[in-house]
Amino acid sequence: MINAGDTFPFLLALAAFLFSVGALGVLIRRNPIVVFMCIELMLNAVNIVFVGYGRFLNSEEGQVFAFMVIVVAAAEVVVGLALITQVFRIGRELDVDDLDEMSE
Amino acid sequence: MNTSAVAVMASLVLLLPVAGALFNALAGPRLPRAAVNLAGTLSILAAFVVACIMLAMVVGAPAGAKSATAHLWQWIDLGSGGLSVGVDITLDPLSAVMLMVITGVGFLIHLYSVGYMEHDPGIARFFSYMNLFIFSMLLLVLAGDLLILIIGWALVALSSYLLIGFWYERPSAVVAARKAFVTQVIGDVALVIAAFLIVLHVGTLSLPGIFAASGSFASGGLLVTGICSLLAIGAFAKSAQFPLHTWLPDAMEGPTPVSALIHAATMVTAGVYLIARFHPLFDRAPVAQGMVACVGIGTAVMAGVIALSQVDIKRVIAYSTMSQIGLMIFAVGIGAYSAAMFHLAAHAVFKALLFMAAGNVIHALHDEQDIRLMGGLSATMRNTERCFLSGTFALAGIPLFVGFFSKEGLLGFGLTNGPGALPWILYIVGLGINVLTGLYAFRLWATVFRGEPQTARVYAAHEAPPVMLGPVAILAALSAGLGVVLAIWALFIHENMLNGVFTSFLAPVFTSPNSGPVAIDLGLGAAVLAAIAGTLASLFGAGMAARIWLQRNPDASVITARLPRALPQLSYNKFYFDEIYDALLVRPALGLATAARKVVEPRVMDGWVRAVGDACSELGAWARDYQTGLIRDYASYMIAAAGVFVVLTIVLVSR
Repeated sequence: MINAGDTFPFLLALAAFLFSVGALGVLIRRNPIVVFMCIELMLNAVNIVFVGYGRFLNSEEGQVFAFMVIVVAAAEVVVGLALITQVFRIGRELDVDDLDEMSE
Repeated sequence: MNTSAVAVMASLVLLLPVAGALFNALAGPRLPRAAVNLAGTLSILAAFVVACIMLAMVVGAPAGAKSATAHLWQWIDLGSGGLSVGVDITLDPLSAVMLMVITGVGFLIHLYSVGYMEHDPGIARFFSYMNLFIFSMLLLVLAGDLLILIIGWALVALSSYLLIGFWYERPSAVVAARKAFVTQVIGDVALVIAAFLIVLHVGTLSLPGIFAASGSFASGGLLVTGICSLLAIGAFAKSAQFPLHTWLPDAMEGPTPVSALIHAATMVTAGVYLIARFHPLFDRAPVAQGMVACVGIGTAVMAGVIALSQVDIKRVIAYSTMSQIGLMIFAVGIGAYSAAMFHLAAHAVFKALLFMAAGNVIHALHDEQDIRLMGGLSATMRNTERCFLSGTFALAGIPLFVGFFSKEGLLGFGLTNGPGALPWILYIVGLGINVLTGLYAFRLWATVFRGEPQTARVYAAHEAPPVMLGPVAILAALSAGLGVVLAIWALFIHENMLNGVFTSFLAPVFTSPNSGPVAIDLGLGAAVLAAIAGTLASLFGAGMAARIWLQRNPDASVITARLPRALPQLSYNKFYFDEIYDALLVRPALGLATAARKVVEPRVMDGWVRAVGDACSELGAWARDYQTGLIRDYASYMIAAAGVFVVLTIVLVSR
């Protein structure tokens, strides 16, 4: 039986790594679908932290929060994918740098 | 009197003009002219009928119960010991007299307006304002509470402002309206301060309450003198007395019916009413009374002198109004309240008559008001001249006309009241005023109706239509006959025939247990002597006017050449009051405003306002650079901020 306290730092390191990969992807990729996947990656990194802390502190609240995040992420995916589909439908190129009309 | 009956009647008499005003204001512009005329005049006729019933109620009330105060509803109540203001209506002989003057003369003037304003497109607006004025004036005289009185007081100033500026396309009318309003506000402020002082001392604003507590004022004390002086300033502003008189001649810019109603018959006499109403306080303030009397008689002389040299027909009558009101103010100053009220009623009749007859002339000559361009109108306007003469005789105080009874009674009263030789001096000044009145009254008649026509327009003049001549004729009959009727009546019920009816009718008001010493009546012998002396003075003035302006022997210019050169100049330029006020008040105020506009606004006000605006726009320009529209930029700001947050947390936690 491995002690929960022993693996906890590795869990945090994994979450930090996943979060960084996601953040980097958001910053450097131009395809909105890939940016979207990176955002999911960041959310799931946070989920790992929640669950890891939940086990470390012997509390169910971490898991509850993780479920919360999953539900919100699902809702966000619905809205985001719908937006991307609409942008594609009006014949625009799928490039986040190209979609900058709101700055004017 | 039954207070609930008073409440019902007073509500009716107040609401009828309001209904007329609202009807004409809301529906009038879309209705035919006949409907507007009907609504405007019938509402006042109905109010007149109600006012007659109210007069009958007062006359029929048993002695000792002539005054009734009805409580309509509670308005302000600040708990026990605090101020309590009710919407109260007081009906007593004094307000009954005012009611008759306002609604009676007011109705005739409304009727006359139907003809005079025949071609004016704003007739609905005109009748709406006129009805509003009647309501305000009725509220003023019926008020049983000082606060309600002040509301009526301010509302008549408002309606006067609206009606002077009725022809708002004329810049002169707008300026005159503003001048009248600003001057009256000075009086309003004085009145309000007086109300504050009264509340501080008595704790109530209800008129019966104030008068019941008048005994608590130290007689001749500083407080009561101050209150009465402030009330008097309010009265002076409203009644165009020195030094707040300059608005009245300019107010002649309004339509002639307005001049007849507001600036001759009713509103300008409100000051006399106010002082008469507050006689229990004035009786305890001899200094204020003396001030009022001196201002009154001084204004009477000054306005009489000015009236001699004016050339605008309406301004001559306006200055004669100022002079006659000066006499009334003098009378209330010496405590001759009944005599003042009698002259007020008589003056309302003959001065409205003079104004409306002058309106006929102005109408016939197509808005010509310069008397030097008239003359010889008796050939074409015979009926108007007859009516005008009736008013002129009454104004000059020729025996048997109503002005004779009221004015000689008023002047004679002064003989028996006052310290030392003062009554005699004042009486001699009064005789001088009689001479002046005779002079300017007959000068006006002679230059307008007699002599040679001065312009071709006079030949083309035609007599006024019946709707204009009718009210004038009714007033002419009153002016000629009212005095005789009252005198014959007085001979049977009262031994003093000069102002017997009015004195005995108003006695319950002016001899309440709390009022001070009542002015002493003249004996019959002294009254007759005073009347003879006054009549001789009037006749002397009238005769002189006839010689100078009717027969032109000697010529008027020869007379003025023989006077000291300053006198005709001063008279023609109205003693330079307008110029003095312009230099003392208007110009400094304008200079201050210009300085503020040129220095304070650009340098001081604009400086920091602009600085705030510039800072905001620079902040915006700086922030705009960071809004690139690239998601990666926004994401990197967020991540950078998160990084800063993490570093800060680590630093703070490890400390």
